[in-house]
Amino acid sequence: MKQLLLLSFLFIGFNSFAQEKFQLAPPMLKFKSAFFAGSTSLQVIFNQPGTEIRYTLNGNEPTENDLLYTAPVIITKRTIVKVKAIGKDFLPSETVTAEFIKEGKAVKQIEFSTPNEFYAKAKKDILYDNAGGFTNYSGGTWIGYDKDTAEVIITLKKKEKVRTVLINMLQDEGSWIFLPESITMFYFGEKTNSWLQVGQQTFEHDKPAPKKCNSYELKFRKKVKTNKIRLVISVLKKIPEWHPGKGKHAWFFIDEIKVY
Amino acid sequence: MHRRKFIKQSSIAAGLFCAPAILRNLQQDDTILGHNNKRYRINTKWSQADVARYPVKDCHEMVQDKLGRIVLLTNETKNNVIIYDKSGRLIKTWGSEYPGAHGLTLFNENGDDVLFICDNNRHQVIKTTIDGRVLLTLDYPKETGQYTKADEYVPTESIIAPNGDIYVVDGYGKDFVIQYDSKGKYIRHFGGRGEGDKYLVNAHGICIDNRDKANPCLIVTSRIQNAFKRYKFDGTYIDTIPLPGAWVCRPVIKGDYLYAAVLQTNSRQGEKSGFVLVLDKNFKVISSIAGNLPAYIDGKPEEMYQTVKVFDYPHDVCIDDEENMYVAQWNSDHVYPYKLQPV
Repeated sequence: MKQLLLLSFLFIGFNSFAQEKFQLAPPMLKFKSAFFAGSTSLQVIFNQPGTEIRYTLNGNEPTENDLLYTAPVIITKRTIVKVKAIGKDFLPSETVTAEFIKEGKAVKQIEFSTPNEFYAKAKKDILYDNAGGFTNYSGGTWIGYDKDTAEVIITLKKKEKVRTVLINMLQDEGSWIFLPESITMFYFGEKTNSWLQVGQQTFEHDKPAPKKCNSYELKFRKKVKTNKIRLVISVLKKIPEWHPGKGKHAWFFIDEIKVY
Repeated sequence: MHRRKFIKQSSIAAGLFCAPAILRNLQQDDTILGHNNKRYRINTKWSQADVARYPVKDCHEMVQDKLGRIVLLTNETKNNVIIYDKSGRLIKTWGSEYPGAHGLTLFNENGDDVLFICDNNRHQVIKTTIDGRVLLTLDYPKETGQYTKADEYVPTESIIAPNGDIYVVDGYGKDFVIQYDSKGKYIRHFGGRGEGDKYLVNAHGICIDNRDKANPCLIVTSRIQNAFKRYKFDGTYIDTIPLPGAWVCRPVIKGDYLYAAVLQTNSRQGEKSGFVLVLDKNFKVISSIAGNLPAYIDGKPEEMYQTVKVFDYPHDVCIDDEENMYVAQWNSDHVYPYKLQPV
């Protein structure tokens, strides 16, 4: 009994001593863009003696048994990379995540309704230039809307069977940037010579979300053969109750669209 | 139980009881931060101040006085100035009229220590004795012709030249450096915002570099530009010391080295990404406490970043007469300064 007591004291002791360790900072990820054609590469920057970088390409949390980072990682397909700094004298860093999204169907152009004047000078191909995927809304890859509706018309180079549109949206609620209320998807029906609805996605805003790029896959109800797709984005009109800006009009930010 | 056996057992018990404390000390000793000849053990529990009686808000700056005491400036008006001995024992406190207490500079004036406090909220620089008696108050510098009201002027730091001239940086206002004589009479101003190397953005700190006795100069922080800029005493621009990624606060020179707290980094703004830099006489980073040691490419350091979450937002460093380092932090849950001892 006495030994058990001593052991438990020792256990408490070790535990409190473990808490004295400092946590490693999250490693710095460097890459040109989250979007790519062909292949791209990811560099992890972290130089602290006694530590190493472990990463996964399957979406799992990295552990000390996962891939050891030694040189830039080459990415050739859609991949979620999760990276962690680990060292025996430290608590592991939080996990840093980057998602890489490969080019889809060949796009001829993507037109968009006039954004807020601050983004009005955006270049014409901003939504299909394979540039973006960073959470800095003023970094030049995003366009922002603070009006009720935004509209996007995608023209493919040729008619293709389409099932999914990927849209990269920013969530930065501290800057009043929210996911929209809904996105309605249409394709152009040549027989009827009109836009036909092929799906709708609504989004919840009932609790705060961390700042991140949200690459959302909009799934059509059915596969359609088309070269024209239209998205009608209903921007969040009232910031929810839990936010300091409650009741005010929210912002919607988009930087890239892919069609699959 | 035999008495002998009992003694033996209790001594084992005592030994085990002590183990956690010993282990904890060992652990602290094991965490060595920094590089080259500037490596430290950290003590995050240095301050022995009673938090209920002597609270702090932002711990902005620290200096050591001629008695060897460590003087801390906080914007907590219950005790704007807290004076410690080097072991962290609180000696005395004073000050309740500095709600925007930000910059603390010590100058030995004819044998007496005097302090200069830059107050962000009062838009003033106040010179006091070491015990807090006000000697001089500098209002917003309308003589410059650059300001129409006090609110436009938010002084963050000051430094006193050997001849007594006072230099103040308006780091949260218009980024000018304003030079006065020892009585507070305006002489000139320079810096400010503009296109070109000689201008400043977020002129947060200033110091005098007299390591090269033949060519002493001023070093001014341009924090948002991640740089220090050097000027002659008349305001002539000399050059820029780039420190990519690092939001450097005031430069602090002790011996051959320049020390500076880095509030945060570009790569992780608003995410408690601070650390502390040590630069040698040639302005090369030779140690980074809780950050990376940058390689130099074409004479310019690589981007800097935090590697260990030791600090949140370091705001100033003070190096004492025994080369110990004290780190004061802004917006870091009212934490008292840490002490780092050289290894």
